[in-house]
Amino acid sequence: MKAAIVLSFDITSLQQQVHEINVMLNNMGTRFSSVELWLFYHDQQPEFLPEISCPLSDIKLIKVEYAHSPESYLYSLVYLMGQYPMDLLMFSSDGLGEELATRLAYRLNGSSVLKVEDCSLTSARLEIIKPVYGNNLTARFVLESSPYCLSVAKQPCRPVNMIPCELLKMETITLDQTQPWWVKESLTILDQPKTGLADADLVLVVGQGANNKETVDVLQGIANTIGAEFGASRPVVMNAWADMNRLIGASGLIISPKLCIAAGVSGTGVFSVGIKSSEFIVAINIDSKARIFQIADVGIVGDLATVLLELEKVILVEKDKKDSSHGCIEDTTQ
Amino acid sequence: MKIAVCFKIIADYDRLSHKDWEWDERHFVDMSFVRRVFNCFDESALETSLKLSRQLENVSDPAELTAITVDDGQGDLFLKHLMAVGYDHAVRICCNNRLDLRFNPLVISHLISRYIKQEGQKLVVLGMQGGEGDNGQTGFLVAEQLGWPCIREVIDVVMAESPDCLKVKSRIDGAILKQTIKLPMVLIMGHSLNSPYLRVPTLKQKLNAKKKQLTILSNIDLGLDNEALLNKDKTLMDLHGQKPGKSCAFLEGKTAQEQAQCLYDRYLKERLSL
Repeated sequence: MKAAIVLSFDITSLQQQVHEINVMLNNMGTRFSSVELWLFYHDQQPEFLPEISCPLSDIKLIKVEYAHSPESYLYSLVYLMGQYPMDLLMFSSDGLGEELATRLAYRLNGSSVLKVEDCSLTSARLEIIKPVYGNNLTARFVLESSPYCLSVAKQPCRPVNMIPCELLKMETITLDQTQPWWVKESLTILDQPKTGLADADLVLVVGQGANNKETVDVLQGIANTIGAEFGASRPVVMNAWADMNRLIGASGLIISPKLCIAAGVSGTGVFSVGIKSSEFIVAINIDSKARIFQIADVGIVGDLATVLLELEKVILVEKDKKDSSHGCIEDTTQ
Repeated sequence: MKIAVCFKIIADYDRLSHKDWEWDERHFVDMSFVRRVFNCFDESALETSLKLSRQLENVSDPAELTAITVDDGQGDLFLKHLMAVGYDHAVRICCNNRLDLRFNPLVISHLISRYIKQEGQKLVVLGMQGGEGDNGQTGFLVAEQLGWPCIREVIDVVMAESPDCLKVKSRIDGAILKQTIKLPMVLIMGHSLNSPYLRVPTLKQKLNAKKKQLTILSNIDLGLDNEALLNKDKTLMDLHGQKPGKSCAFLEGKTAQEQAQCLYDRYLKERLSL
């Protein structure tokens, strides 16, 4: 089976996207006859490339004129598939990867599936596993028509290294691309900045149990005091109680801190997928039957704000003790 | 301007306990006892389109809003709700209920695009994902079948100066893309903070909506026979539940202070670098 990995060099999360594809490659029992990297770029030809966990038989760099137009990518991909047919195309987990996987498969009469967690080739059939029913179940499918276009599932943040291009054999492809006729004006403005959530060791995630913005603000203050990054479930973000860049879950960030305190979250499938890779989970919820306790190591049944305010006090006292003992040691050494 | 908004009614998964996630030999999970809700991204698409239609009230080609769902009748109350809040037409496309459309966005998109072509719609708005299949593909496939461009992860839409254009804001890789786009177009709604929830109708609006008729169409009405509705690109083999949960240790304590102290002493002290 011949496979190609399709990526855009210009996306800010390129190294994370490659990590997610590496997870898929490592999980696959399949041995490919060849794996190529098809890397799109917009501005400058890349000088460094992300480290992919399998040997690459070829790297094709494709210049894309209109970076925000999926049509430009699709046009090039249809051309590439005509020239260099592949059985399997792997796309990134972001919106662009999902759009390209779906639309390319449609144009080539292939099969496409998004958010693929695992993939294997058994008896010449490609089987994939993906979440269904709001991440409450997973389903195993057999894909019927080649080419198979898959976008991979999101994974916790583990960005791969970049390596110099000069060490690799590459081919550059330039195609004439027409300007999208439907776009009359286009402007990009910066979104909210990235937070430290993706690689934080300690995270406090707050859910709808917080009830209002005032409580969320208090909890955000507690997170600052105890040195935690602050995250929020979808209802909290959609009620504008917290910024969109704090969103944790299937449509937000997938985190894996050493310690995650989940307060006032019910524990839906789409939320839980965002924190379940954490090393240790503390759940605080007023409802002892809340589903969040099923993925938690430790649970407290109680009001989140009251418990967290008390926890803040305990931590501040402990910090003071530590600071004063450090001060004593310093005094003695003087 | 004819605007079609596609939506899906789903079971409120939050109401299901761990033991409820069981399925029959056809891999269907019984959710008949759970309340139904709008899929959250579709709800946002419905409200965004209502707001857009209000902006287009006084133009030469005012908005004509149609809500469409593909289901077996569970969405009828929701269609009435949509007529109450201002939708001009409410359409349910029903298919042979022995067919499994849960993981078949290709067929869903065929049904939708057939209707769009038949009715001469100029704008299609739908949510980015949701439902049993969590497929996340219907919008892209509708765009492909209509041969229209599409914009994903839309967060807001307003009218533009030119009558055949719209101003669309969407979220892309760490930025917000503002575009003025020419119709026709498919818009796929993402997390929209401007219109996260659908408005609630008044009692008078509800009573008026009761008198209005829903449009029920079958796949045959749209020129697609049952053979055309079979899933040909993938086959469901089996479903799997989530792995057994952790054995959560509940902390005792009469007061929040005791619980917090116990949490710190037993579990956090060694994990926090103070």
